[in-house]
Amino acid sequence: MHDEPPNADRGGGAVAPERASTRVWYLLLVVPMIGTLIPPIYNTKDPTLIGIPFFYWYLLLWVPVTVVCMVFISRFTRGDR
Amino acid sequence: MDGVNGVELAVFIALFGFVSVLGFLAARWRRAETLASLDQWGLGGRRFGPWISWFLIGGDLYTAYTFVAVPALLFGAGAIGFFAVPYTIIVYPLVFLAALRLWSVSHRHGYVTPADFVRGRHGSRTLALAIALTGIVATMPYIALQLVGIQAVLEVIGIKGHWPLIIAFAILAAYTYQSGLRAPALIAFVKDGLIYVVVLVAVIYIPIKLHGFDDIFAAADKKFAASPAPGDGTLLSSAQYLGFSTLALGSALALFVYPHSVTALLASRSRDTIKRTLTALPAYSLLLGLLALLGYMAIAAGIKPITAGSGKPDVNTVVPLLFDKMFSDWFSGVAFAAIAIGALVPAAIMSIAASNLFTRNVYREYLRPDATPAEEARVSKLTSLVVKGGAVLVIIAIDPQFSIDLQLIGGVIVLQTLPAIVLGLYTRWFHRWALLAGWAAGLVAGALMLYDTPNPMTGKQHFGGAQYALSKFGFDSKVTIYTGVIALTLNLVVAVAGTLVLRAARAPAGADTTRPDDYHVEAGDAGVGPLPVSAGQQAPA
Repeated sequence: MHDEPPNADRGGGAVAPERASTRVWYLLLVVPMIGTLIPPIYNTKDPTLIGIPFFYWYLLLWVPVTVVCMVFISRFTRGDR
Repeated sequence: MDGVNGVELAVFIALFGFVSVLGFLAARWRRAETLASLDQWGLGGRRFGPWISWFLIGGDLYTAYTFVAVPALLFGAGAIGFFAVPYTIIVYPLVFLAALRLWSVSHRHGYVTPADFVRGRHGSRTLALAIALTGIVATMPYIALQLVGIQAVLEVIGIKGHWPLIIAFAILAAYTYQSGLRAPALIAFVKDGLIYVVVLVAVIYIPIKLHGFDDIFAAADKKFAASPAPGDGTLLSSAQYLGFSTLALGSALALFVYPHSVTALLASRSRDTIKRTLTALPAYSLLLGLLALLGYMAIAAGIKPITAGSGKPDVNTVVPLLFDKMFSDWFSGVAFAAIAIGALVPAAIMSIAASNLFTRNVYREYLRPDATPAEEARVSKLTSLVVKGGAVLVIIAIDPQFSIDLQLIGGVIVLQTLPAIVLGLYTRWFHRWALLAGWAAGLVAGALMLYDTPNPMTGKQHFGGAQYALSKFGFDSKVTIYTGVIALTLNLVVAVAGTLVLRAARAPAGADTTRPDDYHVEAGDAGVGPLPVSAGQQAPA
């Protein structure tokens, strides 16, 4: 089963332009890290949301934002290997 | 606690019994001709689609201990405990690309463990052994900690003694032995369903009963203001910023190289499955974040942790105690069952992962190179029994605090396998001996730093936490950094420097049996069937 040659259309120059255009989407992977790993930008009590300090609801808000980022990446890199 | 709460216990036992039956029946689920290979027993046939993977990986990564310990951390120390939220957010974007590459190369070559990959990529069985042993050592106390979660629940129900723990783990060991990874995959549906219901009810119902989040945070602020501990509070102190970020980042990096995460990932059917699963997994992080706030609710509700046999209050009992106080008996029973079942899923996957490491990278590599797939499965099954027995013994014979310390070390040392695994997925530049030297340096430095970390609040001299003070390096600062990240930095420096030296000296680099296109194959491509060729037949490509 391992004897077959690798798929000829992969890794060749032919797919390079397509790759370059979809790769930009991978930058979205960095966005959640910037948003959540710099505490000084969110380490405050106000504004509170239903009594919850900003620090907590801000971080929780990054959960749906991250999902959106990853949906975009999955969608726009489909078929890209 | 006076006596046993009968209703709670009855509901608890009913649900626990139900998942035990599921665990045994799982052997017939998506039945294969035989379970006698690691691909079947240890990876569930490598055929799980997005739904199962989502439940399985979620059930695997968000352990009972997490559900008990994170709120307990907020209860005791405040905002720093909320690191769990950025940690479990960034882990998914972070592992996204690496996970896809690891899946592809593992399916092309029939790799079952991360150490299998290291062996094939770097051509060094010594490095693979180092990675495998690190994984096993890091995983063992993690399994033991799952027992701590169950124990906290049992204490609150009012059950004393060790026998219930032993029974629970004996049942778990039996169905894992029989059904392999299919058992936790099936149970994960129940576990996650229960956890979602309990947490959603808890975060809506309890704040209403406690007159809203304003009062809850006010109570927490009052408690932290009165406590003598520095750095606790509902916001971070500026000296904690770096510790908070590095803890989140380091934990996220470590999570991906834990053997049980890799096991769950490799059980997925395709790259596309992994993409979809990782995209949807942050939903659990929302759950964890809401659950973490239960720590503050416990403060507002005036919860006092149960003082265990050792005479010290067991802070891990605050969440079960909060449920016990707030909910009716039958719903408390459901909540307790959710926590206990939540312990079973990761414990099963972890023991399977540790067993696979032993079988593939110790037994077959060093003892029986011509082991058949059936023999591998047999060894793994027996090892999984030993691993779980060991975990129970550690909890019962030695202070549970011992496994908490070990798990702290485990997180730091498993991080030291990251260069060989994750950097190896991208480049062959690093020399195998340099990676080994970096691993050793990171390991030793990490252990020494942890040993050198006191905790003045608990009076512990050593292993007081995973935050290392910069003042220890001579800086005039109160800033602390996650120990694992410091050790990993040293690891990388040694690996880079070592590679430069070894390359200049033209030391033999070892054979790489992988090819560049191996890292991109998808299910259905040549050489990547729905079921990979059985382990042991893998030929160098």
